[in-house]
Amino acid sequence: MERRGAVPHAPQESQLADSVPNTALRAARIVRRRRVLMVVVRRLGGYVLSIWAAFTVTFIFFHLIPGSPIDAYAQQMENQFGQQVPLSSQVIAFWNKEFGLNGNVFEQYYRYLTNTLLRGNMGPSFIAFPEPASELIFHALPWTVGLFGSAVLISWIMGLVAGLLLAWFKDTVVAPTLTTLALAGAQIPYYLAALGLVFLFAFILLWLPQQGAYAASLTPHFDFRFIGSVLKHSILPGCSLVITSFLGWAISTRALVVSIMGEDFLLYAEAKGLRTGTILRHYVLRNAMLPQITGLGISLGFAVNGAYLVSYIFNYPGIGLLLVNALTQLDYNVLEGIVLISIVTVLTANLLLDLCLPLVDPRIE
Amino acid sequence: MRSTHWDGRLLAGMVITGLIVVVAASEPWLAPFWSGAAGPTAVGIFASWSHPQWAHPLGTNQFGQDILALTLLGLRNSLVVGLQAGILGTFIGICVGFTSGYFGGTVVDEALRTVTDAWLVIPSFPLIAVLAAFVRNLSVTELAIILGIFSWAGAARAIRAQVLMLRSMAYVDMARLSGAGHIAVIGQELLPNMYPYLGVGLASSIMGAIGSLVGLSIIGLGQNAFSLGTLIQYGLSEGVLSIGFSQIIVVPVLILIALFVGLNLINVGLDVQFNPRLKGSKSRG
Repeated sequence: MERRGAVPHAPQESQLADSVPNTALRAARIVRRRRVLMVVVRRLGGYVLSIWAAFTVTFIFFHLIPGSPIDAYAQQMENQFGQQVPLSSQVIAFWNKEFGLNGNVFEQYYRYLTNTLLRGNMGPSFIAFPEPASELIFHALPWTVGLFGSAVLISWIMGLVAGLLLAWFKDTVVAPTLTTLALAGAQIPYYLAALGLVFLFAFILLWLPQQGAYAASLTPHFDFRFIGSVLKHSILPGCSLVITSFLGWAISTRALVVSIMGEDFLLYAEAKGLRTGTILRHYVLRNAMLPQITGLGISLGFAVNGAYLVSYIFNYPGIGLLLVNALTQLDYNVLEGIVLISIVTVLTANLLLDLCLPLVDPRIE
Repeated sequence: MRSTHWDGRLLAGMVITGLIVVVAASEPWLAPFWSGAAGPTAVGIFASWSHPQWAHPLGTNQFGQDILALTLLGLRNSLVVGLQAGILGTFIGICVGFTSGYFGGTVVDEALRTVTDAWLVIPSFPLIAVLAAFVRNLSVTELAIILGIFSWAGAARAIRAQVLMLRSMAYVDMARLSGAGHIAVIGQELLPNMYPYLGVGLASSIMGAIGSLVGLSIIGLGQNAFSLGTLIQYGLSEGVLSIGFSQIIVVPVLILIALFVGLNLINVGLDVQFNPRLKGSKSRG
């Protein structure tokens, strides 16, 4: 309807454009474009700067850990086998070189930056030597991103709808109770939800598989049975994230919608006789959604990070399981790689958000 | 009007958290009822894997330890570490948040805010875990310090926003005009109005710290602090869910959920009770 209403105005606009000198319009457009370009360049510069800062901080952090990882590993081997393993200084020196830990700190820093930042090479894994650490991480990444990325999306949509309903029916008896329940549960860690769900659905009710990403009898194959198995195995770990984080989305959406509900344009829409559904969808939700899109971007960035323990509890072959395995075996390069990839995803999500938000929100220049 | 009427959520949160704290604090007197004088961690005193009975309400584990006594010990340790870390985190948060907010708009504020924002972006769990994995035998206090250092940023940001708002109020200008220094303004004019927010900061720092501590214990790190997570880790590695001793995992999980619910209700309740902007919003709607 609005679109049809806009058509009669179109000729007027073109008339207006004709009356204004063409060059002035073009100049204004060029100035505008240059300003947008400036903003993009500044954001990109900030992004590169923070990536560098993050890599440097990670380097410092890993070097502040007392003792070299090679020594720590040698010590762990000795503990494990209950005897002194004669790891001669030669062997340790060889491995130090292999892992880029020889030379002074500045040499190491230079090597680290050129290798990780420019070539994406994080060095070999300790345990799966000589497989590169990056290889292990990129094998685990799709599982994590696929499972937790879609879990974040689902919980976001569910939270949006639930928040809208909670706000719209806030004068009823039920809604405030539900809101309080949501508030109470919103901060429960994912892994507690995961443990509860495993107990209930995998051990008491025996409805769903307790661990893994697909049935052990299957080999990865693009067919219905394999995909079905993957989906079935993703229900519990996915739900443990959805259950608690959707409560958080519902609460923030509710607060946004309640603040919008006092606005005059809603009264006007109601007075026009629009149906409730139309008002909710086109007037309330569209306004409440913009801040939530920001939140969604941040959460998607954190999807890689959010659920290490869920991945571990369900033995799900994602980043979390890799992290725990690397921790127990002190796999230095893999640990460093996981920290780096976690920071990079969050920073990249922030950058994309900064650049894309003006396209969605006309109020941001 | 509302200051005399206590928010129901705040009350509920305080009751739940208070109950848990009282039980945890009386662990030294309660636990010997079931574990005997030797203490909860003594090995081989009772028969192993005995099912729940009068003498052992939650049964015993593989080492003949009373599970209820162990759970109480784990709860107490989790709370102690959480409280220590939470206090440290809140303290850092107060220092950073106050300085940042008080000098809002200056270079100091800019720098502190950048650090705070960066700290919020850093995935803290893998870093804490890496520290705990490489540094052998972290003592309980060291663990609390590490957890505290990683849990201040949220509090700092909230406190900064609040200080920025309070700072622009007329009574603060009044104090400054009558010759009060920075310290006096912060200590006498701003801080007393911030107590509820310090409570919010403390509760969220404690939640963050306990969440990380239990997480660490679940993957078998930081073993010097016998927490509720240590019990869960033990239960997972022994597969207790399939051998009928699910209480080893389920009871700690339920206690932790109650604790998080209680602390979060306190958080929300404090905000509703003391936030001047939320006052009266109920009557208007």
